[in-house]
Amino acid sequence: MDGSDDECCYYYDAVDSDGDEEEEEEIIMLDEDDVGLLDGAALPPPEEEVEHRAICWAITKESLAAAQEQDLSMVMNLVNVERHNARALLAHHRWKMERIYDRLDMMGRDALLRDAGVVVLPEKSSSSGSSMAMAKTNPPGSVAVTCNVCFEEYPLGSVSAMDCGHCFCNDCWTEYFAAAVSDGSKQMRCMEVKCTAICDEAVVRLLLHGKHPGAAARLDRRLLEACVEASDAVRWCPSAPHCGRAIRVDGGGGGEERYAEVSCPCGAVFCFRCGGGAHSPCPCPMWDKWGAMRGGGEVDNLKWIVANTKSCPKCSKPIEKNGGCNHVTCTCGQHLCYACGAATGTLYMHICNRYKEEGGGGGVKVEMTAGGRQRLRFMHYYERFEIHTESYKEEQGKLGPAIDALARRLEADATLPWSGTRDARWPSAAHRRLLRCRQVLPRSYVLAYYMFGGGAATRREREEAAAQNRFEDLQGQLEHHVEVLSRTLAAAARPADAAEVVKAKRDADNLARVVEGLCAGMYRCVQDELLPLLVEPMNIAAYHPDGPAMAKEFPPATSVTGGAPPATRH
Amino acid sequence: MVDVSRVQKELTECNRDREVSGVSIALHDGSTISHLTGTIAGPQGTPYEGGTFVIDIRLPGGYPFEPPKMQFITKVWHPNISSQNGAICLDILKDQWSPALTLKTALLSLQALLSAPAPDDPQDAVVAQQYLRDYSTFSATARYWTEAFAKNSSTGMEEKVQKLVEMGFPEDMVRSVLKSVNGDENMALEKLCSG
Repeated sequence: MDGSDDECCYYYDAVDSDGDEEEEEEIIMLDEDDVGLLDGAALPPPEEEVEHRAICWAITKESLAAAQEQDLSMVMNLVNVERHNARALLAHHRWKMERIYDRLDMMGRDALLRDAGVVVLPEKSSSSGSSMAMAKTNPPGSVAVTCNVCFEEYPLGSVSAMDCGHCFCNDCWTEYFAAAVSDGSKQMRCMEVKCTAICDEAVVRLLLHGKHPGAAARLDRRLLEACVEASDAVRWCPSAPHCGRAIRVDGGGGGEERYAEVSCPCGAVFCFRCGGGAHSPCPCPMWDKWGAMRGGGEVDNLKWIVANTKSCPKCSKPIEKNGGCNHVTCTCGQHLCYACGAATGTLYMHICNRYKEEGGGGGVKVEMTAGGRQRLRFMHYYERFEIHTESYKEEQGKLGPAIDALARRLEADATLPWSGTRDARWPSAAHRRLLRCRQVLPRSYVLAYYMFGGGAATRREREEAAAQNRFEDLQGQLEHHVEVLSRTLAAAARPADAAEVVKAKRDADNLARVVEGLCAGMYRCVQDELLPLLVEPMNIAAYHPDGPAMAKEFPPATSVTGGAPPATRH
Repeated sequence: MVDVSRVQKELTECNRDREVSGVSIALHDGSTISHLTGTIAGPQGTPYEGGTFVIDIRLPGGYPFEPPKMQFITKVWHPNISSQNGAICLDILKDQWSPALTLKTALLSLQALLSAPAPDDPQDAVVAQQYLRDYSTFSATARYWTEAFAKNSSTGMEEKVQKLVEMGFPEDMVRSVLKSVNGDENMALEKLCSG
């Protein structure tokens, strides 16, 4: 008995020694700046990137699986636990390796495991296999085990025990795993009452594949995708049909990267925070409420009201006409002509076929109530939103090919002076700037609709008035110069002589710089002056002249074997 | 779908020490093993003492990997049991269920719930409020409900027969058993459950 105790103590010391060695190894790896694929920590940016902006990576399913394997292997070696417990640790720390390093340093191994709800018995690491563990749970000489779920007796080969030592027959384990997969579980815990030990992944997979291969496949996919859903730095591309990529954003740590706008290699462009289409400088909650891109939002409701109703000249309630007669009576008792919205008497002695300018020689203006003002207010913002959205489509679909043709013509035309004019890049560069600003303008009207008098709760009314004035001044200037740039490019795309081409280039270059400055100024005004006024804090993506960040394909990992330290990737 | 072998073993195990544990289980209508009727004795030292509480038990297809559905048939005044429909708020019948639990352990947990209510996680808000603010009235009401609904010694023979027949027992057997125990419905139920 005493000898046996000494032996146990000896093994415990051996475990400590191994832990120290692993810790030292990991420190060396840290010095090499080797981090997991799923970490938010930054990799060195490509050399051509000189700006301080979020670096985006596009991760395929294969790279994700390989990277997950690497993270699991690192944790298994670092903490000396089996695969399923390594996964539980990573999930608990949202797949951030640096958090596990920090916690291990601060708390030590046992507290780290306890904190994550991982049950690891000290004896387990010294036993050679599961058969020894099971032997401990049975009386000496026993050749059969009673399963406490189905109350049948089984030979040792038909039962399985988990880290905790609780033993049940394989049939019951299998049905338990299948039910857990149906419930949406990722990692199964022991069947025993109140036992929280996590089941060995290899056992789960082996038993499920035998009887429930569909559930086994679903579990594998769920385990792979869990790290994306748990991580703040990684999210799925929202493309439909799904391109299969996840996008990771590495930032400077200030949190700004969470609001980045990302372009996936498959072509989808989206806001990293909300997953919807890119919408800056309008914040996520306002854009979502507007709902123009998906339908069912406030814009659809108001569009229907504007298109299908008139407002009563007396009480401004919306009125929908049914039937052909244009003589309509409101519930407040007022009679009106549906065609022009004017008030009439009960006998409808009203003629309005002639068009009249507002403020002309007509009758007295009716004082407008809140509902009517709201309709006019919405129409002001919505019309400009729609106009700029349509202009973007025209400038992309029709002006774009014309600009490309112009660039080819410039390259081929030997009669033009060489001094810069024959450089074919200026039309495309100016066109890109035009498209960028044309995208920003409709979104700025959505922001303004909700920000100014749209019910947004703000503090400090005086600051709001000043900020609104600055914003709308920038917006107006941007709108004006965008129209001039659009006209300039449209004119330049038509056949012209050399002098006109030279002038067009000079104007386009100047206007491109002007609109970029105005656009950047508007973003700064929104971020620094308008949004801080909101009672409920909001953020927007930082301004970048070239728009959303292009996600680069993440290089596939070279090694998927477990146990060996991963090679440095540079 | 239900693991018939396990349930049969559970019935045998549960009824073996019925006198000591105070809980028992029987088939509801004798035709399927997925619909059962359980009984628990009111714990001593509580307002429910002396009462016998009938519980409807339905086993889903995934049992024992899904929890059984239990509901009080006997009206009971308790913070964690609906006084209207007998619905039960108990963690092991919901997310804390484990396949290693049995119907017997579940009934014993219900018995423990009668001894120790958890008013902070109530099923019946009215009863929970009374329990927290006016315990003496709660206790008196619970005792009264036990006398009125869980004992039934004052009701007529025909009513007793009807109740037992509604539980799924044959009428002629019910009448003979009631006669043999001098009309004590609880003892009759115990005899019928023992088969």
